[in-house]
Amino acid sequence: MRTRKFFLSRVIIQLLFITLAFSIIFMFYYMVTNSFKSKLEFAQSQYSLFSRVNIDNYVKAWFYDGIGVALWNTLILSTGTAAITLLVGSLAAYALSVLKFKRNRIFLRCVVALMYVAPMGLIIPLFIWMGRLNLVDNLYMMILIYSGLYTPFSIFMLRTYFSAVSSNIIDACRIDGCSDLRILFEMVIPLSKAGLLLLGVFNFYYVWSNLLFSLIFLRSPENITLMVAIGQYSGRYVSEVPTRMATLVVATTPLVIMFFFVRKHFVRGATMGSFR
Amino acid sequence: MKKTEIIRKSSYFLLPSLLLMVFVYAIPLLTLLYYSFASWRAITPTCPIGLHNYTQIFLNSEVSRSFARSFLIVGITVPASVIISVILAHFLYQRIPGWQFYIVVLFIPIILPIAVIGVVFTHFFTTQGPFNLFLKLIGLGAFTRNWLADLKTAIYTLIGTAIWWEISFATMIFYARMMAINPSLYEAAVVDGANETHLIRYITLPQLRGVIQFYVVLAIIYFLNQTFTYVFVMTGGGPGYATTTVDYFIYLNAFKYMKLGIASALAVSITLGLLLLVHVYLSISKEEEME
Repeated sequence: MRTRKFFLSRVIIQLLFITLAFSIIFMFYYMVTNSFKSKLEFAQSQYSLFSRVNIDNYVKAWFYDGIGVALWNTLILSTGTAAITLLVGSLAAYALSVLKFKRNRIFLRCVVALMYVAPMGLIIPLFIWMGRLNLVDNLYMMILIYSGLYTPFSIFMLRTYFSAVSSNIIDACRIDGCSDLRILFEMVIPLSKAGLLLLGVFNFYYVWSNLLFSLIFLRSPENITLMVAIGQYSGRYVSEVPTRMATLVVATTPLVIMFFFVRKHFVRGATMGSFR
Repeated sequence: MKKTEIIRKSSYFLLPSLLLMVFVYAIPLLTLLYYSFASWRAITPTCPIGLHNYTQIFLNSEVSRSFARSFLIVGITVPASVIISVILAHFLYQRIPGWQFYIVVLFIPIILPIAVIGVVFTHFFTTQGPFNLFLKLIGLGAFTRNWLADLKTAIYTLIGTAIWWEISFATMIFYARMMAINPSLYEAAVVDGANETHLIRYITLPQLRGVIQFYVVLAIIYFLNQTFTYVFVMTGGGPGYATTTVDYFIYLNAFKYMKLGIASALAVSITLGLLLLVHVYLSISKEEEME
């Protein structure tokens, strides 16, 4: 009796796993195969494999829908933000975990609280301020805004990595007469390489996939990001599905490659912050 | 080092991040507070008018309905994701046949931006889409419809998409936490005659308590204030207002209808509500996450 029930529950769980895995793989299959089909081919069957590798959709998306420009903008934004948050976050995390100044617990509490502030609450005043200062639709301003937005998370995450650096090493450096900047850049940062790499990837991903802020602040076609290009045309122009799928492939391939390299470290980072 | 020296040095190190956070968080939040008490002409706040914007929240019937929708999303998505993910993580840990394959596949949705998933799923749920074909194949052809355009099903379709993403994410972090469980706990229980339900109920669940709590709080915060991407990409709040959640409602009022007073008042309300939630959570968990 017990074994039969056991068997049945295993079958149900296995079915659940298979359905889930199938839907995930099918999603990829749908995206990739349809991006290589002509409109006619897509109309005939959306499930078949493409008959030949036809990059017309990519060419069209790249040149006519401005995906080339959008990809470039997204790269600048994501890389810029990742670089700034890494630098600024390292400095702050050093003060919190190594220098241990007096109010550091309260400071950390505030930083953690900021991680969960509703983005809608920030975007209204920011938009009005930026509008007044004539800085809407400016990529460099956007880098600063994103950097600020992800600074709390960066400080929080780097602090846990920096705290793991043994204080003996730091004391030894100090006795040798190293300045704090040298301790940070020549001891603490090299010892926390995994953490910095992961944080860089996270912030890169956050900016890459953020729709709301890019949508509100970047308005002109030469400044849009990939997510804005994707989001804006969703649900319209049904006949253009293959081109849209090509856009999606362009927007996800870099992420897939990037995450492939940090897969091992990923989960530890994800349980630390609010990875979404 | 002397105390004053530590403070002086720390302030140099903290200065750049403080400036950025003041610019993106402190100033906007304070101005938002002022905006919520101000009268508006188009996009310019004119003069303070007290609580008028806040009373508007209660007078506008669409506000309570969008709150109800947000709570519906949280109320279904979070429990469903937790229950399914705990079970999936448990069986991954028990080395169900194919577990290595499932771990790799479940990782994929996590790295896809929500906007991308939204666009693909929008196609899946159209009349001619794969989902209806799937229903026909398993003999449920009677239920086929244009899922996102139907008043009754639109919000549940969004919820289904959200759960789909959340399951992958939650299973991953639960499974990672399970690696720290001592396998002899399970072995001893099996020797004592425990079945799979017992194992989940008495070993897996208690061991995962901390990470489940953490996930639930984050997910509640997320679905109360960041459903924007799902809604914007998949339905645009429609049909009618059927999928307009609180944060999408704020977006509509602020950037489409130019009713910035009520949008600011609502934004202040959810910001305060969520901060309270975070505070309560951090006090309960006694900062165990912070160490």
